[in-house]
Amino acid sequence: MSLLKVEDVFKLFPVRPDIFGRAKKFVHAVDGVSFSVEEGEIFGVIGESGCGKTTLARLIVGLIDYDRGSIKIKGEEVSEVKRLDVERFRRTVQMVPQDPVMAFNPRKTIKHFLTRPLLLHGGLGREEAVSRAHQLLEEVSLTPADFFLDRYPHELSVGQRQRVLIARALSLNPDLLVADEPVSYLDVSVRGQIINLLKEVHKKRRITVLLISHDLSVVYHLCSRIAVMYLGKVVEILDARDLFSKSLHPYTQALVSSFSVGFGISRGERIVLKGEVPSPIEPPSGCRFHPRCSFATDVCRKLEPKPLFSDGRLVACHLYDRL
Amino acid sequence: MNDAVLRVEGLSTYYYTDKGVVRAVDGVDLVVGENEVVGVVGESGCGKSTLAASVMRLLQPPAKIVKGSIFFRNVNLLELPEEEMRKIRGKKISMIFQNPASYLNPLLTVEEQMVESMTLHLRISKQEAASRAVNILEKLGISAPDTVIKYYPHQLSGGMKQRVMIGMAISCNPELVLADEPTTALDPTIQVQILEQLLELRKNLGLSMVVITHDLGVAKAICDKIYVMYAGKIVEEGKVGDVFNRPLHPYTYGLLESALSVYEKDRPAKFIDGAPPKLVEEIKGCYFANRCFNKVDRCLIEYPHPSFKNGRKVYCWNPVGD
Ligand SMILES: Nc1ncnc2c1ncn2[C@@H]1O[C@H](COP(=O)(O)OP(=O)(O)OP(=O)(O)O)[C@@H](O)[C@H]1O
Ligand SMILES: Nc1ncnc2c1ncn2[C@@H]1O[C@H](COP(=O)(O)OP(=O)(O)OP(=O)(O)O)[C@@H](O)[C@H]1O
Ligand SMILES: [Mg+2]
Ligand SMILES: [Mg+2]
Repeated sequence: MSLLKVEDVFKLFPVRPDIFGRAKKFVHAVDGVSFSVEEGEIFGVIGESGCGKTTLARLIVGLIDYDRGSIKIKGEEVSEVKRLDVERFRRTVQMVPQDPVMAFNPRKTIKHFLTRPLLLHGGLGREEAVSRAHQLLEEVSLTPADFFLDRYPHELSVGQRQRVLIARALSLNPDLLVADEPVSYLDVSVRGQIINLLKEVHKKRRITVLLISHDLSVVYHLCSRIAVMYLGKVVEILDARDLFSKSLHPYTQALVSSFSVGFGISRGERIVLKGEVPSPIEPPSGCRFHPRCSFATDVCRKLEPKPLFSDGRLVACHLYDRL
Repeated sequence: MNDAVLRVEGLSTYYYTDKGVVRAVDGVDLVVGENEVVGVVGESGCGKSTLAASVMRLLQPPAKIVKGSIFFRNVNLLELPEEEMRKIRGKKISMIFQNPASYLNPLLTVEEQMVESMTLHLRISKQEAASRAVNILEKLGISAPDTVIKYYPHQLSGGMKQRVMIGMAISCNPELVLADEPTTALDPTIQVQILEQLLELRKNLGLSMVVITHDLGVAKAICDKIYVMYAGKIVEEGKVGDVFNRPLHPYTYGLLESALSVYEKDRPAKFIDGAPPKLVEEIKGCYFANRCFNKVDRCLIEYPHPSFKNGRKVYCWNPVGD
């Protein structure tokens, strides 16, 4: 059964009218997104900076409301549950936010930060909560845990704060963990530890994970399937094993080719995207990727490609007429 | 050594907390040559940001620089009055902060923040500064830069904030940029584009850089020299190719192994077992000894003296591959 089902979801942000008072414009941050995540799956979301990944994450965990469409977790509409039973909703879904600095209250210790949800939503007593917090810090390699429990957020390095956020998100044993760039500030060794931790909680507690990351090696390693977003839309969903070698959409191919330029095992030439990054306020006609795509033809300029589905895979591109 | 842009010598920066003294930077030497890009890699919490903040003289109590000197073109920054330092900060030396969100003012638009330092340091008009800002953002791959420039920070995605931060840091034609994890929030295509921009500035303006990064790919792509830091100290330095192809310090070796292991899907990721020492403890031997696969008796007794080989330097009694 799908644990998370996102259907044709839209989120537009108004931008201030310009000085000429022209009609109000909108950022099409999430623009008709659909996909579903099976129970017990680790599902990746990748895509260009600004393509709407964080907005999508915030919609799923109920931090902002969608304009249209439906998001169901365990069959229940998010907009409904979060209104009717916040407590249950908090236990069902948790998020690791992308920014590890703004998430903290600077005046409260790490102990307070970690025990609060356990006391409020987890039904634990004071002592139990502290010992659970202790254990969580050890799990994310912040040891000696006692030392870190008494620290204030600003006394921690950014990567240390990021690990506290992971610990907190896991503390309530959610059914769904939405992790927005959870390892972006970690060195590769600590990253390895966190990757293993996520695999372990996923296996032992059957936590379903939606993982957003720019680090393609991490999504490749952890995920079973990966959705690729471009300018507010999902353009491809593929098996993680196919990411480096068998992606179909030209945008995915460009993304992957840039990634291997660095440390990764180089796999052929980098595909340089031509032209400007298009604006999410006035997205290009037809296929949104066409101005930067070297395969674009007339039909791409005019007609939006219909997504093709097969076996949990998806591609939205005129180059293909079947999957 | 007179042509160094930056020369950090024996720098120690400590945090004086109620739980003891945190020796975040502990006797660090680091040299950035003219037009050179130097990378600093190391474990989360090992003192990289503290090192950069020390150079910028942006430390807040309870942090204190207790020892050492920081020469910028042969002027010891630690001896400059704050007034003089203010003329250097943001103009000659600028910093790309690790957490853009906390350095961007939530109440000002991108334009207001970018224009401020340009009118101050470049003595250009507001209009000129504004159009320069749009130009810079466009080069950094921001779409619709003339709209985005009117945004407040909360309207920006993580990667957009990071690029605004980069834009601010390069807007006044600095001579030295300290970049603290400059590409963590960027997808690979934009990341490559930003790195190319930085390299272009280096070529055209003679920019020198210190790049703090945990992304070994980024380090490999743009750095000439690498410093590996562990628990407040530099443990290995050398040319980037040497360090990454034949690491000498067991810690560096562990980092490279961890990075590569993630490309194997069906095995657990590798990592360096154990935790770094709490920086408040006195330790006798090598700080890495408790986690080291290559340790010998001496490691527990005496902190390693540096050994030199082919322009490389390592602090280890028993380097890898010896
Ligand atoms: N509150 C807001 N008001 C106006 N625009 C917004 C707001 N939040 C996000 N946006 C816009 O929506 C788009 C998507 O932003 P989002 O943060 O979802 O991107 P992202 O994919 O997470 O990017 P990154 O990888 O850089 O974090 C961007 O163009 C951004 O400027
Ligand atoms: N204000 C403070 N008070 C006490 N300790 C601090 C303070 N700020 C930082 N520290 C400690 O100093 C050490 C170095 O921190 P720093 O931020 O320099 O690390 P870093 O190498 O930049 O790590 P990261 O890669 O996670 O950003 C850390 O162990 C941190 O806990
Ligand atoms: Mg984001
Ligand atoms: Mg740091």
